[in-house]
Amino acid sequence: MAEAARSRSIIHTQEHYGLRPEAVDFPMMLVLSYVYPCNALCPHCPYTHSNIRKEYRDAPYMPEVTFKKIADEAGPYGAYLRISGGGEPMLHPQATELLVYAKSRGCKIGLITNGSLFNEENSRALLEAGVDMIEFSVDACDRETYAAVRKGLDWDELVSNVKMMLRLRQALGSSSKIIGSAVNQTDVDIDAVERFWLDVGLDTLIKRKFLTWGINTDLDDSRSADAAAYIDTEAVPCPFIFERLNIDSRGNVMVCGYDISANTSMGNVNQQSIRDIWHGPGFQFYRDKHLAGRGKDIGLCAGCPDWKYRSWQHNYWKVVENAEQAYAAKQLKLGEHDDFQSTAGQ
Amino acid sequence: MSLTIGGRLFTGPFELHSAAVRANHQPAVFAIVAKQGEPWNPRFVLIDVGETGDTGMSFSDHPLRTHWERAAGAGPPSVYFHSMPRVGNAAAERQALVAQLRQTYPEPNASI
Repeated sequence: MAEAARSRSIIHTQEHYGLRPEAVDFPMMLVLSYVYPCNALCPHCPYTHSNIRKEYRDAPYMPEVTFKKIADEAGPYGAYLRISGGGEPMLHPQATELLVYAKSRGCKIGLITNGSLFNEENSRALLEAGVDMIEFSVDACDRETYAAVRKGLDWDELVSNVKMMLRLRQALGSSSKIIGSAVNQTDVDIDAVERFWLDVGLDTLIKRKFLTWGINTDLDDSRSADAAAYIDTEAVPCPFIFERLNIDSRGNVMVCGYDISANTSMGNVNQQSIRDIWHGPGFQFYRDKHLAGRGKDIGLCAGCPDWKYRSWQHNYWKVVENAEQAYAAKQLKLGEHDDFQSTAGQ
Repeated sequence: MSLTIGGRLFTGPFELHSAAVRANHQPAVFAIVAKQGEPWNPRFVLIDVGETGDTGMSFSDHPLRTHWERAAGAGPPSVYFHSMPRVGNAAAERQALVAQLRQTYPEPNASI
């Protein structure tokens, strides 16, 4: 009830639609499926419920050359590389090295991870590089629930790795934000999950809608604990095509995160510049249709069950803002504490 | 990739000239699908559905291959599979699914 009321109070639309000001030249966010293998079998994961991983057996990891081309182009724009999709990012044999490289080129990095593969060495490297957002997909606040929604992973290892990351951040004075996320699904008390992880010390927790990815998977929404739409898709364009694009391990650009099967091809970053693809006929087609209120003329969009959950306001940028504010507040508190200690020691 | 057709998950696309379900493979319901339109705005049309039977099926020399290719027009057709285990009355279940899909997509070249 409280969650529903809060959801209603958030504004999800705006007066005018179009490319976001920060995305006029270049996408604000590049969502990279740079790993397809995974060490978990989560019941809400679209890859667990599809054959997509099998189809990427010839391209399980994004090659270094492709990743660096993306980072080199995105860096000058300060664009976010959102490292997610496909599998567990830290399984990439060069995961840490590539993320550190992207930071050195000026990219912002949002890493989404199940947190099982961190050790002191790679955690330290990511924090020292200033990876902007390290997002642990926690999904639970107790061992039993975690075993059900994060099959194959270990609860104690997660808690331990989150605490290690927080401890190292403080020790290093890193600017990285460390957050969590949880899918709002049946048998999970999402508010308890939030309380638990904020108590552990995460900066914020994203409550994700349960998505099905339509024709790409055999998921249905029976596990959704909150199916209330954010926007009316008859009236409001999808925000994703005005801010971000998705790239798979082959360098193929898909129109959005709904197309995890890569049925669309907006271009390939190995052959074209990302900027050209962003301003190419494919994205223009989608934007024109959506701005004209005819997004549902497009087969892919007409069949997209997730468009209604894409808010113009309650989105990743809001999460970044919340995490920054929370971390800044923590640092202020730490600062006062430090002053108190230093004064007390005099 | 994955494609849900009539609520069932199909795997593909496989090219007709090389696709085969062998006798030692799980039998499957197959869908002949053509991808049409611009690469950024594909439309998937269902050309035909059928089932492979218990002894497998080769698509390179399938008697309907020419018909499927003609029906697909510019986009070459490919095949997607929904495998079904050999348990119980498996053949009847495959045939029931084929009938259900034909009922769901009655018109020729229906969009999926």
